[in-house]
Amino acid sequence: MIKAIFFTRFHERKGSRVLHQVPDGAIVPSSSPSALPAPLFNFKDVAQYIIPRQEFRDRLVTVCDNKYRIMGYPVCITDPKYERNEYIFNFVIVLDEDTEFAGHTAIVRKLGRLLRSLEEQGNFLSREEDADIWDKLDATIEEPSGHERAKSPFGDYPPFGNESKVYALCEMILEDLNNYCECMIPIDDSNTINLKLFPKYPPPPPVHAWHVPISTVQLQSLAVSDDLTLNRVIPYINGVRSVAKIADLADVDIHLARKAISHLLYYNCIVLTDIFQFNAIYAQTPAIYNFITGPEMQAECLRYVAKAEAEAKGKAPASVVGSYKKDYKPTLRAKYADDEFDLTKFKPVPEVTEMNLIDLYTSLQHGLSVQNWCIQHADALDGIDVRRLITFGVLKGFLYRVHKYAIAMKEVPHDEDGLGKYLDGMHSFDEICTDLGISSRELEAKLKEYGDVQVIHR
Amino acid sequence: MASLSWSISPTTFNHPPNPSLVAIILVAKSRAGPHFVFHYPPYPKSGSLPPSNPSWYGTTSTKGDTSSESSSGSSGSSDDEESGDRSSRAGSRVTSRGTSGKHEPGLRGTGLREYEDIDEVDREEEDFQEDGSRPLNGASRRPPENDWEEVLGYATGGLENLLCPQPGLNKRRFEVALDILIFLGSPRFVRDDGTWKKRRRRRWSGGNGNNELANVNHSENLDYEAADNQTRNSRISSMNEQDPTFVHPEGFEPGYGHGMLSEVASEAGSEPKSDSTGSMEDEMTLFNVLFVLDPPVNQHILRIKELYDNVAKKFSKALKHEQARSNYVWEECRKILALKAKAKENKTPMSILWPTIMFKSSLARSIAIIYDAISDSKIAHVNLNSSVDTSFQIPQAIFTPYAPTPIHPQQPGLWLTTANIVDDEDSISIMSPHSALLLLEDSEILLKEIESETRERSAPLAFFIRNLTPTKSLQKLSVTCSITMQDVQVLSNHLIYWRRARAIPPLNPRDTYIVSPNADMRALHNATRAFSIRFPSLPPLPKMLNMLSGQTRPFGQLMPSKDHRIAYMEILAWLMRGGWVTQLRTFAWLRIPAKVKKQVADNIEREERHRAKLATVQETNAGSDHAGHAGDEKSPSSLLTRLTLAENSENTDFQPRLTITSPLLRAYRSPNRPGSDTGSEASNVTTIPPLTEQKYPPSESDVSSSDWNRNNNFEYLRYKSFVRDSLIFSPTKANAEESAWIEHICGSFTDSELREMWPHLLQYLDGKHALEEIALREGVKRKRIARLVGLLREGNWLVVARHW
Repeated sequence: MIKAIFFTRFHERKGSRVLHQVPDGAIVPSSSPSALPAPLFNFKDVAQYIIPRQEFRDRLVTVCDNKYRIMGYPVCITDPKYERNEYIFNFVIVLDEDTEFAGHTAIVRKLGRLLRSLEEQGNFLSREEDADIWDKLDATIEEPSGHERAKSPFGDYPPFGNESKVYALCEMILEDLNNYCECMIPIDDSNTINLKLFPKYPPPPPVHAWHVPISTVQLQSLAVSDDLTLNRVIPYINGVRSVAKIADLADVDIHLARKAISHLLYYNCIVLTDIFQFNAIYAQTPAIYNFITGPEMQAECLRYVAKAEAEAKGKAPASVVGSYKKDYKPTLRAKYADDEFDLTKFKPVPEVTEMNLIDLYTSLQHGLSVQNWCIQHADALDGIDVRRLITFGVLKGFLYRVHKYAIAMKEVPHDEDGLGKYLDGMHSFDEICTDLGISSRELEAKLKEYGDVQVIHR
Repeated sequence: MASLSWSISPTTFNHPPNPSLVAIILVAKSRAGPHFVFHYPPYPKSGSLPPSNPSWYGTTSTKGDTSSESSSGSSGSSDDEESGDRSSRAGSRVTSRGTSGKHEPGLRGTGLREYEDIDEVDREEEDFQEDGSRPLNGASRRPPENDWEEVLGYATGGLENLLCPQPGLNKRRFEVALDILIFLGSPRFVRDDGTWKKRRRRRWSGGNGNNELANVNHSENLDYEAADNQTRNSRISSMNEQDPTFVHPEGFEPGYGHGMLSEVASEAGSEPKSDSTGSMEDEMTLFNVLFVLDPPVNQHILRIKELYDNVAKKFSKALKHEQARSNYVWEECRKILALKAKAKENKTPMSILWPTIMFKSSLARSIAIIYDAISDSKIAHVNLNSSVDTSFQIPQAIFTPYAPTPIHPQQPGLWLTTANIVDDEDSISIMSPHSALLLLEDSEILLKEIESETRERSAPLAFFIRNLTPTKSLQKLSVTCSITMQDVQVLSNHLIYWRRARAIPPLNPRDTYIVSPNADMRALHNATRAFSIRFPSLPPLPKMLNMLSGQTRPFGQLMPSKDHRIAYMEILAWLMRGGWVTQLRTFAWLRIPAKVKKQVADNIEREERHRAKLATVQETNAGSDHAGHAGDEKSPSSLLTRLTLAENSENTDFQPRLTITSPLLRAYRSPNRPGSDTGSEASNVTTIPPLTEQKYPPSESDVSSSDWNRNNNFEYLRYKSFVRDSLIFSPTKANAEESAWIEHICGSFTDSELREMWPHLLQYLDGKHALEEIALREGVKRKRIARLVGLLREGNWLVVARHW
């Protein structure tokens, strides 16, 4: 929430003065009946940061005072038409100190630049000023502005407030950004101020060739992007293919594909997971507690892992998807589960229960590949999509992939296939296989040839 | 554990430590004006740091460029401007200035000033510092004469003014940001009476304060000017020597007029003045240690708070204490400024000057130590004034329950565990007496360190450390060393806070350890070398880790013989210390099979009938009920009777009642249906389906049936839970129904010891307590517990999960 917006102008002789403030009385005391009882902070204390020295102008300058964050973009326009050849102003936004302000910085910067060009083009700011205003303001200058509102000598502050375009601008921006997070304010025939508060996300983690993107939204239905790479890549994201494979199928350079996918990641359109293989090993994390004690997650899992659900293939589970909701049509298997009241009809079918899932998940362990696990639990896995079962656990964070790393104990001789440089314990088998384009079985065979190589599961 | 959300989402994801510290700057203000005293590192860099350490994500790093693109992508036409602006600050400054030497407005109309490098402003006005209109000094428009006169792209002459706040900001957090750089400080002002003992408080009287101060300074300044006159000439000459190309316009020599002006106006004048101008009488009115940060997006508030609370504020406080005691800060400032001035005269390069300053000034040294340690997320030990030894740190997570994922990395090497998560929040600070203490440094090193400094705690601490072993719980330690548990905890907490130790479950060869998913593989190379030096006759580190990979087994089984036990336990401690391994612990829940539920229900019902017979229908005395026709229509209803409902109501008015009965009752509706064999099912169908047949014929369509499910979801779940196996999540808080099941299960045990220990075991079967803890907590032999748990697992009474 923006607490206040104010416009400060540096007067040639009188120094920094607040010309407009919304709400009234937020920055300097005002006697208008609707004004705030006391300013949010002491303007005098921060004035040097609102109109700073030359070298700190034309950049974002923020100062915190009295639990408020005061963000401005001081601008100095140099032109002979002004007195002393300079016109210095700052259009400042005030936020609560502990509000996340990343999104507002762009707004303040943009406003500063916009107002600069408006002033340069048509004296948008300066034409509202005349000597009277300054004379009126003058009366206050000698007063230490402080918080003693009673001392405020001018009854009609802001002196030219309500008719002023700049004041209107302050008002509208405050209202619209707080209410709608955006605003569109026509200035004149050729200028409009368009602002939007964009949420700022942290930069996405790097996307590697051996990651598997899983969509959390209907990527196909996303507004068509101008990014040609993205458009080519999206059809191949199915929750199974690795980035390398997608790049290959889409015939896109792997670096471009990674970049495109990291764009999707930035906007949380996808999540990343590992390459599902039957020789991979998965084990539980402490989050298994959430699954075992969470009937909702179990029900979601039941729906997600049931076979024959071809429709949502390659999609993340509904709760990972977040706001995106889709009514899963009960499949045959799910129907059994739901309709079990009518046991006379479907009695002999071995239905999948929550307890089955719990038993299956808790039986995954270190040193046990999915393949062997499947063999051990063949019966219980009837009607369950193993890949989705594993993926569900990984995405929910209660399973983790136990990656394998190889470490050559001796100095690796130069080898033609380039495997040697991967044997330092920093490259997972997934990575090596993807980079070298070999299967993990081939990799393991090659490692045997190397002799003294220690494989670590981590 | 219960209070901790396991779900992995950005909101619950803990930010890894990232101090984002770019530089530390010391500014001070004397009567003569502000001084940019010192900054460290000599050449701070900002923006080059990636938002978080890319090494956490994997082996190769791709630069995540998307954020910058998206942040500016919306600003349309201003894009170019921004990039231009950012790329060359100096350039834009020059262009925005346009022609130089213009008239600049002064504050209050006290007079116009010409200024081109040399200008004069009244002292009074400097205090207000409202005439931000001063153009760049010569020093920053040309390349600065000395390296140290430009920091982070700003001239120090400008920064010193910006960073000396108004007295209104005294005692408060000082935070100013220039673009992405945040200057965070805790300014300390001299008291009105000129002392530093008590901080004066001048929050909202700022306006008055300004005037007061201004007046004081104004008069002071006159004195100063007088004093200054004596040294002015020498200073001018020295300046001209340094910068022969620079010719001062007549009457505008840097030294002309008030002393402080020269400092602001020209870099050349600023440094010499502070020492050579006889400022010995000059007094400091303010000092401010600024921590410059550039935190990653969305972490500003977190990082600022972290640094301010733990370092900035505490350091300022310590400095103020020293200042009050012995004028320490100001003495040091003058020392540094003198060195700088001398270096300027002698044209000493910064590469020599900076080490000299740090050698001669303990304050500069302290700042450097703090910067180096804090920006590396370490602890800074600072000796400000021989007598005072202070430490600063941003406390860090010592463990994480989250395994790293491609999207949410963890700090590599951070200990992965849930062992430290305690159930009730308030007990977190109090260490469990059952945990052991693992020293993070070799005890010899620690002991040496402790003995070198004589402190009140040294002796007990040394004794404590000598007796510490990671295989023994603190409780045992307290007994064997006859130290009270309270003392043990105090000492332990001391070691833990200063990152010398970590509380862990005692290491035991019977426990299982795995290679931590969070192990820092980048450190493997060095660690392997260190390992082979430490344990020369034993297998190398990769081999050890390989043995801990794959199929899990108790650590003891890795030992080739009993003689290796001590060495292998040392290895284990070494591995734990480096975060290479973590204990794989076992968590269990009690499984209630449907069979048990049915039997319990039957028993209750039987009892019920029996009692009913005895009490009311004694005359019939038939006594044939025990045949147990549990499948009869009557049986569920009698059960209901026992709880609340009227007898025989079921078939007639069951439907409306259903909506109001509690789900608990519903659970008893069909106790015997699936549990009983196929034969009884027909009768069961009649008990439940009325509901579906009346309104929601199940065979109609998918939609309606799913509607039905939604409407009766809870009922349905209860029902399902009854006909199926289920788990008990908190056996200590079991309701009547669950208690009956648990009792029944206990009754089915044939092993007498198991039956005896059952109440003790039960409390650990909640998925939050590791089974490995039981022996320690109950004071029972591990073997015994292992056998009992084995029995339970054999009987398939447990659902067992294994994690750290």
